[in-house]
Amino acid sequence: MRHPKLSTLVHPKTLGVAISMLLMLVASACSEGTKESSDTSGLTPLAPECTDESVVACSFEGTTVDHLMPDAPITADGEPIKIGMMNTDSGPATAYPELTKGAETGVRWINAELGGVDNRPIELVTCDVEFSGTGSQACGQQMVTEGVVAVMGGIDVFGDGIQVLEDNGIPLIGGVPVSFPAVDSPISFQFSGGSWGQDLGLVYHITKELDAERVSIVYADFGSVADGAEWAKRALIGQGIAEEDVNMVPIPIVAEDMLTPLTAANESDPDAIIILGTDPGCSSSYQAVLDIGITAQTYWSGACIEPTMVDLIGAENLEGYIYAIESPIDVDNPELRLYDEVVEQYGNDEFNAGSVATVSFKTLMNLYAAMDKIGADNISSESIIDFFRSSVDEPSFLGHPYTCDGQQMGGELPAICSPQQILVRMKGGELDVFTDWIQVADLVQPEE
Amino acid sequence: LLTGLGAGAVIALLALGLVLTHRASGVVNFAHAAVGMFVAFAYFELRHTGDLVLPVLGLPDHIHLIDAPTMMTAFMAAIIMAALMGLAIYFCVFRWLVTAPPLSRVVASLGLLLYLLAVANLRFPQTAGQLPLVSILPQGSFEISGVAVPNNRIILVVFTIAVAGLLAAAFRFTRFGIATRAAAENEKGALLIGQSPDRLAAANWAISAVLAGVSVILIASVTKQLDPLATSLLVVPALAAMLLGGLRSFMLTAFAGLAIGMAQSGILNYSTRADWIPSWIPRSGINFALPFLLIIIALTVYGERLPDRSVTFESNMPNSPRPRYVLPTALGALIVISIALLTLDSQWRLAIVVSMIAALIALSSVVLTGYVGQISLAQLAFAGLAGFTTAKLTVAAGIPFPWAPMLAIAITTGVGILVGLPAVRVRGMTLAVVTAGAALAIEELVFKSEALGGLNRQRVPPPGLFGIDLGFFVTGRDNFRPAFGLFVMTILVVTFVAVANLRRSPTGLKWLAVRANERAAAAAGVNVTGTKLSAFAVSSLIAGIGGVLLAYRGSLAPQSFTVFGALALLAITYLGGIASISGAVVAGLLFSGGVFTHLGGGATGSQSDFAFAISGIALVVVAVLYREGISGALRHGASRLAELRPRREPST
Repeated sequence: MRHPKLSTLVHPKTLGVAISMLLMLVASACSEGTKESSDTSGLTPLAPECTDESVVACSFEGTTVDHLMPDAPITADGEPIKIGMMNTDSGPATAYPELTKGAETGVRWINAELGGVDNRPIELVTCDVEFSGTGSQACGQQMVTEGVVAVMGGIDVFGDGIQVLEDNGIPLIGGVPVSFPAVDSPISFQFSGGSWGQDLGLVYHITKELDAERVSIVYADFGSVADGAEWAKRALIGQGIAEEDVNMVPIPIVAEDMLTPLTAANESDPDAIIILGTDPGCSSSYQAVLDIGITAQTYWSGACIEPTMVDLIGAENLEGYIYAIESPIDVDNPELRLYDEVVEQYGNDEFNAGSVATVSFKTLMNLYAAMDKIGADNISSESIIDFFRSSVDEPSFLGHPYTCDGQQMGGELPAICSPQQILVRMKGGELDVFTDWIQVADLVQPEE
Repeated sequence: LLTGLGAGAVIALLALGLVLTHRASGVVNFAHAAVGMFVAFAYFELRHTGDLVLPVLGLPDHIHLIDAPTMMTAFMAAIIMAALMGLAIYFCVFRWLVTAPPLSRVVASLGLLLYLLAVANLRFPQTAGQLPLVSILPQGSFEISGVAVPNNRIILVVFTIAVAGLLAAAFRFTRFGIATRAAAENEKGALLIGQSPDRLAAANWAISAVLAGVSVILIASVTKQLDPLATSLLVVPALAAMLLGGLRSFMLTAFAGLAIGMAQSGILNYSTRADWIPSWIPRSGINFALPFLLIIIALTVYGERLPDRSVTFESNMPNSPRPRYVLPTALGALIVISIALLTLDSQWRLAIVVSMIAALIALSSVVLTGYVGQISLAQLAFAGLAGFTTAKLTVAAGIPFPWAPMLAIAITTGVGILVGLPAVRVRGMTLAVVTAGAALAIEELVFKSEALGGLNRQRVPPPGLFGIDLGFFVTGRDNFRPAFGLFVMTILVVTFVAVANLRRSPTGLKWLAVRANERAAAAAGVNVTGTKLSAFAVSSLIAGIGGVLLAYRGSLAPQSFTVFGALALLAITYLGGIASISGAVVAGLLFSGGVFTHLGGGATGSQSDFAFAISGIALVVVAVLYREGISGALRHGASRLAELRPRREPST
């Protein structure tokens, strides 16, 4: 296998204390936005190769949306189909406007070149949840009032609006599942394993390949990150590791110096340490691991392969570190090339193509493919929910095929449709994909 | 314990800057770490790109200084910038608040914090967390008892103690330090001996800003972490160290900071292995909240029941007008709100309900802070406590409405009295920090506990009385039901009328007497302890009512009740008018997601950051120029209009 280079994982705006760990998930999902590198650490993007005037004129054979791309651009001019997008575009603590920009860019391309859905253009209704529960509720209701048939998820830490969508039978599709309603609600369909899937992916290697006997888990004690850490603990015990040999080390969300928690994690002389800190905390954790001289195998969130963080410490110092990601990072991946070209031609605003925007683009393409299969005349909230609920191994753009039967995480977190993970290892300053897709569901242990 | 030295040094360094500004001008600067944050960002940006980034809106954001600055060049530029920021902060903000009550200074520093956060977001978009935080201190580590201790942490500790020693020596032995102490004690006296208190304070603010900048630069280069909000919030543990240092002693503060860091490290290490600690207590919360709780207890035990004679009493507290036309106003409010709820669309109904609940929580601050002068940062935590308790009692224990919320409010009132106990012995800024600590403890130990705060991801069942559904939710465009809005409105109006009557009653007069002068009130026969505790009880009860309504509004999340949120709530109540009932109404209208937000249509991206920066400036302006807030300004405006109205000549 060709060794891929690191992705340009640039989170849009690192701000929050309570929120910063969410970026871990965001950037993990962003691993999808991979580009060729040219510098010594292999972290800078490659300019798109295609120079044609339309995206469909370029050759991107092998994508999951090949069948949706005409030979020449077709402009949709029928009656619009309304879909919504709820995201934290602004807020006092944190914001991720790139997600909305990614969706808007994709919609422009679909309407201008793919002919919409059977000639019906997509009308995107965006709503800013403003990093608040009230904003989320207001957005949920706005979607009801606007009469959208489905809502694309962005990042909504509170998730209060999802309940409004559920009350009204409007499906929530994709995004970054960081709230509990996003993974619990029967109208939610997620193409990511969130922190739960990621952590189980790491546990897979620890138990199946490393055969570890003692494990420490360092985690930000907050929401889905803490819950994911608990899942990892249960999975470790389920795989035969004694409960007393799983050392849980929570860190407060405002932890500045990671030396203390990582020393505590190392004290039990573990074979493996899983580090699920905050996103800005990746560099801090890297530095602490080096300062302490930890020799145990370390496991990290995909967010921690963000180029600046790696550059700061030096990729050569991270030799052997293992990360969980949710998408292939092969630079020749046609879907990544397609995404780059769409951004190049339709990304009106200056925004980072390798950012979290890839998540909303992925969501849009999966929803678009679903609506195409349903057919323009039959599109409704009910038909979209039915489609996803009955999906089995449905191809996903930039991800593992999804099955939304509610059983992908052992019957819990029913909204998670594709929790599968890929593991990559830092090797010679570059990332080496060393596993195929890991079926994390095999590791799920029911809560007692 | 040794691994906590680095974290301790972080706390101690920031606490030293806090003590310095407090000794120089009596300000507990909540924006201290934020100043350091901006300077550190500017330093690393300068090192990385050669651009100097200015923190003043309206000026060019980036000025290219030099192509490849050395560490020393960038460091010197950052120090100069920090000093200028310190001077600007003093001359533009705190110079005008020398005689202002502590609350005004708190609000001004909150305004500054909001401004710096917003400007950092505007000036460093997408670079937060991505700037190369290049090491300044040497790498490597050595072992003590098998534990690796990095060299840079030790250097940081030595630097901290050296700074503390220098500051202590400067304040004890140098002319500048002695003059600063003299000016802090007695400005007129300092003037008589030829010292300018103004210049002294300005110099101290410049030194403090430089200290903040250098501290955060060093900390970020060691920990490899720099984030606008996270770094700015480091001020909270630093406040604890400052309290332990008695708000005065540099050396004690430094050692207190180091001790807190080491204690947190030790507690974390122990709590991860201690089986006896119940699983429902969040482990990370213990090491975060426990030092704070111990400090609160210590302050309560060792505090004085009455302030001694050296304490000067505040003469500039905002005017607290006697409520007039209570019943007509209440009736008018009932009519207007009812019409609005029954005629406007769902988004408006949501905004009105948000404003009404926020007004209730703000009213709790009006009672405690506006009427009795007790600065509390725990009001939002009280609301959250009542909300989570209601949810738990309803969802888990199956206790129906109205018993569950009544029980929750009773529990919250009890906790409110408990949190009020330190107020018997501590006051002013110390009480603000103590209540912030209590709020932090509730946040860390209760809200984050799955057993105590967790909702099992279920919505609280809707309230109902006599077969009438008072719930908030329904499907379709009729969502955010008017019935719930009318229910909230009734509670709001009844509570406001009750508070207005309390304010006019002997109890209200006792509250104001205690606010004006505790010693004088005690001499006049007022039971100061009982009066303070009664105010804590009433205010936590009101906050509890607000929290219960939040639970039924389906908006409970630990993130909604943070200390940062509490600071924002206090600031917005001050902006509305902290000492009057109408101020709470204005605060409710201004609250995020409320009526004004809906009127404004919202702002996104950089517009939103710009709006936050403007809000910060507005807070500073109100703190400096108009301590009675917007409602006070409206009241005075109405009075002047009435005076201008031509009077009818008496008939002869």
